[in-house]
Amino acid sequence: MNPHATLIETQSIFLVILGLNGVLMYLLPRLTRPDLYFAITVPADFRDSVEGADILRRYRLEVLIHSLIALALVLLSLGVRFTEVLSVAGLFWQVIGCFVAYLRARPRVKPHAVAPATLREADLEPRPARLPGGWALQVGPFAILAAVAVWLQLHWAQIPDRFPVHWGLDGKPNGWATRSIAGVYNPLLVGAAVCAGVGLLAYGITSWARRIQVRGGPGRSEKRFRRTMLSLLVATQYLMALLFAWVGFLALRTQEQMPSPVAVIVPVLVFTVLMVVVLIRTGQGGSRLPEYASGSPVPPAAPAGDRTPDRYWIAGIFYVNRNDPAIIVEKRFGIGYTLNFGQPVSWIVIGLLVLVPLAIALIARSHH
Amino acid sequence: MPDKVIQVDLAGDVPAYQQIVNVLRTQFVAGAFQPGDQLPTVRQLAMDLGVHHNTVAEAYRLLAQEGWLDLRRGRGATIIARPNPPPSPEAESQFARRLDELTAKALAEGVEPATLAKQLDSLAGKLRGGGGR
Repeated sequence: MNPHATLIETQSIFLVILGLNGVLMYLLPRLTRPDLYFAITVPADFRDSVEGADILRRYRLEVLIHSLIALALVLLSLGVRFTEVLSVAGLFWQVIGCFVAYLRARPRVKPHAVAPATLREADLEPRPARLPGGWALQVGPFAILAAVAVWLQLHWAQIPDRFPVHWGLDGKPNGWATRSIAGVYNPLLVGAAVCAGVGLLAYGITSWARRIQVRGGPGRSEKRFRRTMLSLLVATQYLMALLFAWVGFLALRTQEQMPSPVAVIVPVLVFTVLMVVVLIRTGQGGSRLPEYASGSPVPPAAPAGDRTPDRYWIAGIFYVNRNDPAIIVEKRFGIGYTLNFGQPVSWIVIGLLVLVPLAIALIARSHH
Repeated sequence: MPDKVIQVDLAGDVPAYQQIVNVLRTQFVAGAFQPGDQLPTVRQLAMDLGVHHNTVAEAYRLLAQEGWLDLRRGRGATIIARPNPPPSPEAESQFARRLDELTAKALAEGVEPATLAKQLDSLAGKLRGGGGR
């Protein structure tokens, strides 16, 4: 592999991530539910008011400045020795800078906060707890990983005694595994754990998250939003299965035959871009879909928000409410869902999502 | 067919479990459900309404006591056929008293007598048409 070409390829990936993150952070205040502005419950028309527009303008200016600084750091890394450090520093700068811009906007919104509606509504149709896509679709990713495991078992003799499993930004391998059960099957096990984790989240959205709007246009668009989210999660499971299957196959390649990691990163990035585009079109809870504004049952007396009280949110990011039986709630500043950290089940879910892949990776590392 | 949706005001004067009982009973009487239909599980309804599980469990228990629900373990809440009990003088006088109280409360809150009369007419029309069981 040409190291300089690899460097340009990997830096291009950094630039795509920067661009994507910048666009998302720039647009985010307008992608949330209309009565939640910078994660604070406000009247639905506040964001279109003079004060609302001014807060947004200042936030976006800060996002732009931080993104440009991050871009400069990544571009600078092309001409100097500390490539990895500068590129990663650029990403961190952007993420932290945008978060600070969000935190700086919140105190300007707070004086306009209003109490959310105390009226709650629920559908009386039972929702059967089932896996998104049913068993047939859920088995697919694990079948892919199992098929690769069988293939590796059948070609065990062709696996070199030592093969690369991790690469630096320069495209050179910096981590190796030996021909052992743990070394060879580790990527497949991690892949299975990741797929199971994503499946658990998808199941949680269908069974552990409340529906915020039930009737009229908002109810229909929220249903469509959920279907979209679940489809994206199932697609993510398949993408992850293919990605880890690809990594698993690398055990059969020699150092000279190693393909560029870009070959796998590009599809992941393309999928991520598509996912972001879809979510920008739907908005949080389907609030940007055309049917959201149509057929609203009764104009609410107070903003419904996401039917969680502001006081249980820490910085508008972490929801901690022991009295709320919902384990999964909608994000207030973002698109998708987050956990109710006041529920012990949430900590068990986090433990499973983090510890299981980590344990598998650590066991394999001991065989490197 | 009436909407199979429940609304509860968490800041209302009436306790949440009683609101759930009132709404569900109204829907049962209006024929929104058939015997054999299932209601959401206690956990699901509590989560959707943002109330404690015990609140929904208590509401379901009261409705089961009234003969609307079958709460067999592991089968959720099933609506059952409920024959109307024979008319009781106590129930009738209690209804008349509560209607008087409710009317007085509505008038005290500024509801126009004509509006009230219209609502009562509409209700009477539904009852004459067999809208109640």
